[in-house]
Amino acid sequence: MSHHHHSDYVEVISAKGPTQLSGRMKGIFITMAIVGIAAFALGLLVDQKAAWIAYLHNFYFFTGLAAGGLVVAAIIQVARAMWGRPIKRFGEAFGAFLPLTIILLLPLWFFGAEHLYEWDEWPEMKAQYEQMDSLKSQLASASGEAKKELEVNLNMAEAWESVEHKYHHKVWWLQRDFVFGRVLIYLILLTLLGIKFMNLSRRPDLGLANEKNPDLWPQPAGWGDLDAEVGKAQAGMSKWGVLYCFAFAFLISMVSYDLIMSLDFRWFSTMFGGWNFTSYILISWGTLYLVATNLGDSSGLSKYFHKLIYHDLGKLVFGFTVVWGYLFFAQLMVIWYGNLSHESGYLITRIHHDVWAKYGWTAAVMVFAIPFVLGLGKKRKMKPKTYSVVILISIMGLWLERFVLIAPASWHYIRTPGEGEVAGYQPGVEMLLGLDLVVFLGFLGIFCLVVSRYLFKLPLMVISDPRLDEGVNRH
Amino acid sequence: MKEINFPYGDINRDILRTLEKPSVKYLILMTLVVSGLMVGVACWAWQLKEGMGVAGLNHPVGWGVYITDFVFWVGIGHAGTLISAILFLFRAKWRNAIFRSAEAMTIFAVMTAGLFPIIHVGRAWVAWWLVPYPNQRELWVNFRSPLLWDVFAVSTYFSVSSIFFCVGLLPDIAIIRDRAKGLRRKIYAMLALGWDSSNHQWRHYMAGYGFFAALATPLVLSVHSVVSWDFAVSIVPGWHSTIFAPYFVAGAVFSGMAMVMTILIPFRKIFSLEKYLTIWHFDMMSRLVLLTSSIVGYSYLTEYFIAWYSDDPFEGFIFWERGFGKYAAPFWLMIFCNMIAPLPLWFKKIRHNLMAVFWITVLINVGMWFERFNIIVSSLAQEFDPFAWGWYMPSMIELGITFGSFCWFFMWFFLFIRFFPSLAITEMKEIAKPPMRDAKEAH
Repeated sequence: MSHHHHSDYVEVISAKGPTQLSGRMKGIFITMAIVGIAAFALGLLVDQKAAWIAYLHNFYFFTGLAAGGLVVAAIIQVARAMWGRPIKRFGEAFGAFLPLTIILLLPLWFFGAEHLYEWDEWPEMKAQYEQMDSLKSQLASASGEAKKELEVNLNMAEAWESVEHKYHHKVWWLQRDFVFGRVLIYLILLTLLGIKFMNLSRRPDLGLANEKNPDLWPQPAGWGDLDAEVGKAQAGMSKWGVLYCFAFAFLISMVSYDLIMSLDFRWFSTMFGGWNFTSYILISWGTLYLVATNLGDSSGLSKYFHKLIYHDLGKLVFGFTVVWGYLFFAQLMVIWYGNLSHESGYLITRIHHDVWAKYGWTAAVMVFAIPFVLGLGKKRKMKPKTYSVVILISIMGLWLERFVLIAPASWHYIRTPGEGEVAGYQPGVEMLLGLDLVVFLGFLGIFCLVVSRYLFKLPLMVISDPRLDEGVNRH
Repeated sequence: MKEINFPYGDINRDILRTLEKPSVKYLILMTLVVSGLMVGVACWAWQLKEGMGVAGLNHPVGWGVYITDFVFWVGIGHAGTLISAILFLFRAKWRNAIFRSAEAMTIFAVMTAGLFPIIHVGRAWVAWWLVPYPNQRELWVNFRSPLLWDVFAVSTYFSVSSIFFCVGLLPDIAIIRDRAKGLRRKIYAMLALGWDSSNHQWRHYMAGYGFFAALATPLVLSVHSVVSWDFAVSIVPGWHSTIFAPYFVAGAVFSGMAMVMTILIPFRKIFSLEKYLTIWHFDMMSRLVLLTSSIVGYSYLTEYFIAWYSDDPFEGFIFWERGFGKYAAPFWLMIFCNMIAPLPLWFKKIRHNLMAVFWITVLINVGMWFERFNIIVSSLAQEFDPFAWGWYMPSMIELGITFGSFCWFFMWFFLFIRFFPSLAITEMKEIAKPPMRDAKEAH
């Protein structure tokens, strides 16, 4: 196969100058954001719990995607991969959403938690327990509505006794401010490390673009000699990239334990953290494929993306699909075989329960079965339009998988009688999923706006990277 | 690439040097390992004669050093296939110099591991009962038991890695054949299966090699996952843990990589192969060791965190006892060797100091052996019911057999380097600068 040798990309990209999202795309994303926010607001009015489930689910999904895009860029850097250099900037740009996650956590902390987490009721239960004697004596003389309420309170007090006895570590670990304070710190750390990596990467590119076209590009502050700047940035990225990868694995694990695993506080699994961060890497490779396909065409850069880049990305998606299947099975196997009630209950809800099983299995088919079978050949991976569909199925499957992890625990937890009912009628999970999808669109719109705002101010490829040439002109 | 700077013409001669008439040093080494093996054989013979009582195994600890050895050796057997198959698929050039010896090590390690279930069952002469076969009593093995899955997993792994290994050897054997005379030539001619380096053969060979690499890759994951399920599917505290499969796989790669380095560092010195096995190779391997060490460390910490978080009293108790109970010494040895000792490898200076790398990898081997000991013994010694607790100490017989197993492994490895090229000649030629390139470029 003859391949044209490209040596003009630095000139072409720096001649263009910073761009912007096209008006049409901007309009679409803003509409999506508005629709999503409106749906969430409407959800809050109608069924708070459903709205907060949708919020947590999409918050978690996009936090992972933002952190995952950066980790994928860091992996390309750290593994000294040449092939991935042309698309590295796209992965980095996902990280632009990270600072926003810190703010988006706050509504969950102050308004959402009480509808989602069973453990959030513990302080209330404890308060009832502390006045159990007086509750009992009041109950003896009470009647009617007052008696009913006292009985509810007494039940809470008694339930507290068993919770405190059985879960004395969790009673300490799972307190609302403590949990969300921790998650806040994790997200801040992730953001700071991510920004460090992103800044190291963009500085020499902006500097080079500025040297080529000083009118179009701003010069980074304190800009020195190009070679020295590039050398410093590369060394820095290799160092901070490693640190970011490790931080990603650790922090996403901790976030998943605190925000997701604790929804069903009786359940625990040592693999949960690893499984979650691995899936985010899978989601991110896939999203990178979609972005490279679409943005490559619209920005005119696709001529610099060697055909094999899609093959390589496709292979990584395939590889992580297999790893996902492996981890899924390894977790299922141990729990199923062990057959301990405190573990298998979690599984039974998600793969046998009338309501949830269909979503659980659909997710497994979408994440594993379809991408595995359709990802086997080489040709299909190299047809971006076709393979994008496969990847889209995989990503939405992972989104659904996260839904199945998150929704059931909160959905079945009724804190106050009548909660979740709309005019005396309890809406089905289909309604919840529908709302969730619209909220997903909202998050997606905001994500795309934030990421493209960051991305289009920079050269779209890492033009100063010494390995880029090898990545564009592959043998 | 600056790391690859050996002349094409030297490759055959330098690599085949190990096949020349053995030196006195080699013969002394060989005598030592065979004598060591004899110690192990004698210990096993004693156990066969006297019965399992001579091993330290007793209620409640029915799995001890033998199962530790089994898991340890299966783990050692992971680096070879990782390097030869996975790194082949990743197109990592640095694998070319080391994969042959790593693969050989894999096969000998699995052969060593395979001995231990036989030793462990006691009545070794009926070990074939492990194999499911139709029989007139309609007695079948217990298909529900992960111990039986092990039989399948390990034997599949052994078959595929030996075929992969033998296929990879073909072109190199042909080179030896072409240089040998007399009986040697006849033997190598037979082993070379008529290889004549034709274009036709190479095309098929490369396609086949790729397929084998793809087939072998999932096996790297499956074998140690199944081994981990020997423990994890039970409900024994400290064993029943969902993370076990990936944790064991990472640990296996970790220990295997360490063993490859422990062997290759002296090997390179003895046979003056510095040109081929460069600092760069050890740098790359050290990075893999660092990565897998981190995964193992992550798993240790996760297990502790979840044991605490779970509020399961049995789980919490075992993990407390591991750190501060009767088996605290092996536990802290494991933590030191697997989590702390590899940390200096973060510095380039250390990665480029082969003496330091050598001792770090030796420590890792020790640590990974104790990791398995620690998992197996501490959980069994203090299961749910305090009335049934009991302590286990390895007997001299068990330690003798363990020592013998190391000698058995090294015996095979020494034999291998004497009769086959321990670096892949053709792969080294692939990455070397072609001999005529300079002449062409001059035009």
